[in-house]
Amino acid sequence: MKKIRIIAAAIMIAAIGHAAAALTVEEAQAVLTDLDDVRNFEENDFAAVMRFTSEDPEEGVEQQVVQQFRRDGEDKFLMLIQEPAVQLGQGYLRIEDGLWFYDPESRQFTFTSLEEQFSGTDARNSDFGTSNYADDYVVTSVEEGTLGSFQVYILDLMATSNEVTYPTEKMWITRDLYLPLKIESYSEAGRLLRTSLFPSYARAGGNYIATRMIFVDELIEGRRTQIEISDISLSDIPDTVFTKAYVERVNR
Amino acid sequence: MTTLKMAIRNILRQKKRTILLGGAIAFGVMIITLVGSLTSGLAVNANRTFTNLLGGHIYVSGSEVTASGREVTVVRDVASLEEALLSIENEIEEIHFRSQAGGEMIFGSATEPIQLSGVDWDSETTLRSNLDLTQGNIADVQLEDTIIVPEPVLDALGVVMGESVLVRLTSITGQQTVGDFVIRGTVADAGNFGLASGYVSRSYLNGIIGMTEDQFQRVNIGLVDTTLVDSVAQTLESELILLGKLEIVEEEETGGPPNPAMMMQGMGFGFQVDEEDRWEGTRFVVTTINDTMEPVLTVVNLLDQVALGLFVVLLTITMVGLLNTFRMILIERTREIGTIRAVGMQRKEVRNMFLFEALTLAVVGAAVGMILSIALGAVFGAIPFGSGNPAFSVFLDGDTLAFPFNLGNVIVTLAILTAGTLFSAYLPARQAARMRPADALRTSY
Repeated sequence: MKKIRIIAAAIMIAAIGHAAAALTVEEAQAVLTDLDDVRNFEENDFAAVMRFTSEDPEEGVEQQVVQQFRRDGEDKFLMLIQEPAVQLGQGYLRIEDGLWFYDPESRQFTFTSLEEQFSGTDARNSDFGTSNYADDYVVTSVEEGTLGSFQVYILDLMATSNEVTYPTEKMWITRDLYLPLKIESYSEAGRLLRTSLFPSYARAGGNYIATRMIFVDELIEGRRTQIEISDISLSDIPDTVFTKAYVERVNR
Repeated sequence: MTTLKMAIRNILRQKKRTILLGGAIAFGVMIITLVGSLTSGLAVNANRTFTNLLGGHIYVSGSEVTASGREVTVVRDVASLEEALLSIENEIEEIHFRSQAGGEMIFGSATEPIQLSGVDWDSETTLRSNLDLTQGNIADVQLEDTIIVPEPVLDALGVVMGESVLVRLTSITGQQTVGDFVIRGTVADAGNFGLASGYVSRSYLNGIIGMTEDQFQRVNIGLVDTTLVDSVAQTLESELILLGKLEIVEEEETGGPPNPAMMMQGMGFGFQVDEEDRWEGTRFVVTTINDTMEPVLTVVNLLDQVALGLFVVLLTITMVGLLNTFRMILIERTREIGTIRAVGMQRKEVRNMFLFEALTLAVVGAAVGMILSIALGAVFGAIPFGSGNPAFSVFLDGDTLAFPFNLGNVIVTLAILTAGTLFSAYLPARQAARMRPADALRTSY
């Protein structure tokens, strides 16, 4: 029994030692792949309800409820707005040929892009799709640090092309599971544009999903959006959900 | 001459009736002339506003597809563009190379949507001289971070001249970016349908949206003769087609990619292009002020048609009244007609007397109507409308409406009125002319 305890302790110390070891830039680059893997649902479909609370010093507080469907393996997602009633039926559909916004009032789909704001909030459409950090960014530096009570790696990232939403980012990720806790997004000129916070995660299958996200607009004092995620499901979603026809008829 | 004199005398004999008939004609003419002037003024003001706002009459924007299939609005193939422009060089009065970006102006927690025009201040001398600054000094445009904004933006953001503002923008490839600007000039609201339009240095804007200093997204061409907009644009398009550089714009599908007008406004970048639709190099889109003004002109034309309809109704009522009046006159003057026929007046002269009467009524009524419309136009044209409705300000000259005298409209109105009046009076006139003197003298009512 004593022998087993010693082995277990040794394994634990080795594991902690591994997790806490300083990363090289090359290792940190590989971490981005792990980070994408842990956040992307490649094997399962994913569905959840997202509650948005947007605070704007000029316009007050607005709330939205959105049903999210994701199929990361095919780089598809659908965000259907359920509340407020005035936006009921509006949807963002990401399929092979791009991202479409559907407005039930005009009954038309219009092209939009991943870099655009999501429905007037501080979230971007790209925040809800497949995570592509490994492809989109290179790590320029890495250091160890703490964020609150968490031991983290702090990664400085630079976009691999000028088509990524933010040219540079600074990311705080947990040392054990490589989950982002905080991301600062900068402009080309180095101005802080947005801070994203991910204070809580839930395990879903073999992946992790941030159940609370806070996006702080760093250009406009007091503007921020908080998203809370619930009713997570990894059940298969019918193929028809990721079609324009579905978006058109779902809330008719 | 005698016939005309007698016609005028007859008109003056029944003053009340003449005033009523002439008044009806004058009212109809006044309405159609006034509305015609109003719609002409609306069209002229809208044309001027759009010309100033868009900086020319023909706009050529260029776009290319990146390796990942994203469409970006930028003209890199300057050689092809210059070659195409040679075909219309005699028609060009001025030409400007601009960048364009839509964004959000930020001051503290206040925000305001804004459309930025990046202009090369050194070459855009016309803009410099035409830009009627309500505050600030035009010489300050030489400072690279200068932004000139419409007055209402200052109120909306709560800023004053000389303060720094941020403008959140998207680079041509879709990246989030932000620019620092200092407000050094204001203009009256250009009324760009509620979207404020600001002027900044092109090279400075380019630096923010991911272009090199001398690059541009759009060419604005001002024409010597503005009536040739469509034909010159067609020539330019043909030349670009020959060079294989023109994007053939299909009828816009439901929810399709951004249309040329959007691209022209700098809103067409960042979208994915289907693999089969991608192209090599720069493709151009040619649009004109007429395309932009189409919805405005539709409204103006509609107003014109409503006015024409109203005029036709008024004219019909007046003509029926005229017909009845002349039939009454015929009855009243039967014995008189018999007398003048008996003393030697010919049938033709009797008929002409009636027609002259009608014609005189029409001409005098029309003249009074036009004088009234000019007077009312002057009164309405002096009423300041302010900038309450930005969309309406497109139609204003400063803050007032314009009522230009439209000779074409006046000639058409006069022609219709004269024809209508003569037609109404013709039947009673013919009847009068055909009367036998003896029968007429015998008649008593």
